[in-house]
Amino acid sequence: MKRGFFTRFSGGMGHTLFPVDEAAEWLKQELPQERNSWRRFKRVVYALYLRQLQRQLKGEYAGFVWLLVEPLMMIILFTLLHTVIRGRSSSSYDIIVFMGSGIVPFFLFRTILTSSLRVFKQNKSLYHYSQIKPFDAFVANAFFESSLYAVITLILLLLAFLIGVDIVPQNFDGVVVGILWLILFGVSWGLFLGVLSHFYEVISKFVSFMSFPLLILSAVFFPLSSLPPVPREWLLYNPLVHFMEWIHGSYLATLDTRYVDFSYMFEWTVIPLFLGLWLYTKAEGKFLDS
Amino acid sequence: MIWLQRLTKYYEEDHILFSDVNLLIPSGVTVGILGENGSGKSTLLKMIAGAELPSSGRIALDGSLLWAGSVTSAMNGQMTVEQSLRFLGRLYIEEDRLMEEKVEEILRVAGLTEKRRILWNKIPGDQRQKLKFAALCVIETDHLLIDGGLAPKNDSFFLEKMVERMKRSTTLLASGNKKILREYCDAGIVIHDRKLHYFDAIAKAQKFFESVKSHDKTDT
Repeated sequence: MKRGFFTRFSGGMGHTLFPVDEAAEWLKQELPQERNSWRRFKRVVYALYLRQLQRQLKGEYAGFVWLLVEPLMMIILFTLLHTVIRGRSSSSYDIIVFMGSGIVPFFLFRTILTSSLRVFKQNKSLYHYSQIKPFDAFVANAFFESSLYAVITLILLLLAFLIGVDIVPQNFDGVVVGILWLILFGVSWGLFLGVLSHFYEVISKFVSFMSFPLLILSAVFFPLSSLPPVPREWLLYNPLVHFMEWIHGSYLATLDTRYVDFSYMFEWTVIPLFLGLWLYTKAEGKFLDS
Repeated sequence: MIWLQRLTKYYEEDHILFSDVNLLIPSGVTVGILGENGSGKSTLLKMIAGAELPSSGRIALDGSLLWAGSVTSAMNGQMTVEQSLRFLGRLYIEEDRLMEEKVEEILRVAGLTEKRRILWNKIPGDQRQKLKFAALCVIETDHLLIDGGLAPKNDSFFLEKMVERMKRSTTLLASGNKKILREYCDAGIVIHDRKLHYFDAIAKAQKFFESVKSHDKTDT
């Protein structure tokens, strides 16, 4: 092997051999980074987003109808249960609004999380295009699922409005901030667990197994204030509880957000986000087809 | 221009394709890539395309790139021909109107404008091939990577278009066909002994390739 020499070519003039020091100079040269530009990222995410939208629209309508029916059924079920157990008069807030503002955001979170566990593998063939990175597919998917739930929310709000429910939130900005933060929370965990699940299959199984317990333990269909102090303290370790309490408390004037701890929510959002980003940069090549 | 800086690629410890390769491929040339089967011709193109990562070292380009092997990667049975081409177009062209024009042109070159609303997997394979090559000809990029043929079934209409297209880019062409290489390439890269050997004339590259091949044979 001719170590110490390497060949440099320019302008189609043929090749020449350069001695070591010049080679060392050239090796230090900054290389252009076009592939990672912001413009590329936007263009690719936009294209992937539209692609996913087209596939959704092309797919069976049953799929979309189920997305709508699942939360709707759960809202009706929990509203009925609540009325049977507590009686209509005992609740001072509108129970349908309470259930809706808990269940729909919870489903949004769950969908972003579980779809993130699939997204890296699902889009494998797309990484053949030099401009598409696995991360772009992840971001496009998060946008897509969020916008899908925006549509579902609007339809459910319209339905509620038509049957005479007061759908106007007491603190509109609070609800919006809560949902956007919840999306970010889902994206953080989706990225972190999505990258990990590529190496440890068991994580996907664990997440789908946890889906139901999480629904019960996240204060989705009951307010924390209805619990005795000890279980309340325990539930507050679950970051999702803070999100649910915040959204419920912002939506309904009769509830408040006294148990919400912003710094706790912040930690549980930022730590997995940075861990996920760090792991992703380490593992990016592993997602490619090899 | 394509930079390969200290590029190393191996699959297992004993399967090393490239070791510490440094190379600068100048702009505007058409380079033929020569190498034995399994020497890493396709892997090299895949790595330059970003579809596979090098084990170590870096690859950089000063502009956009289109790899023939990727053109139909996104196509599936849930999208129509037109939607598939639009997706492809959006990856390369920012402006929507320009992208639409390119999609029309691809359909026109392939002669399949009336098939636009048909699902991708519902059209026959040879028509998919035509669309693939039409897309390669119509979408302009600074770099073009081709492995395999230059036209579907060596159709002369497509071949002519492709040759024109190759002149407008820095092109890497990996082909086992000596005649094609000699006819359309300016320069050549020979993959030999885990290194890339660049020659400014394809004839020299082919001569070198033949000599190392016969040398290897006498060795064993």
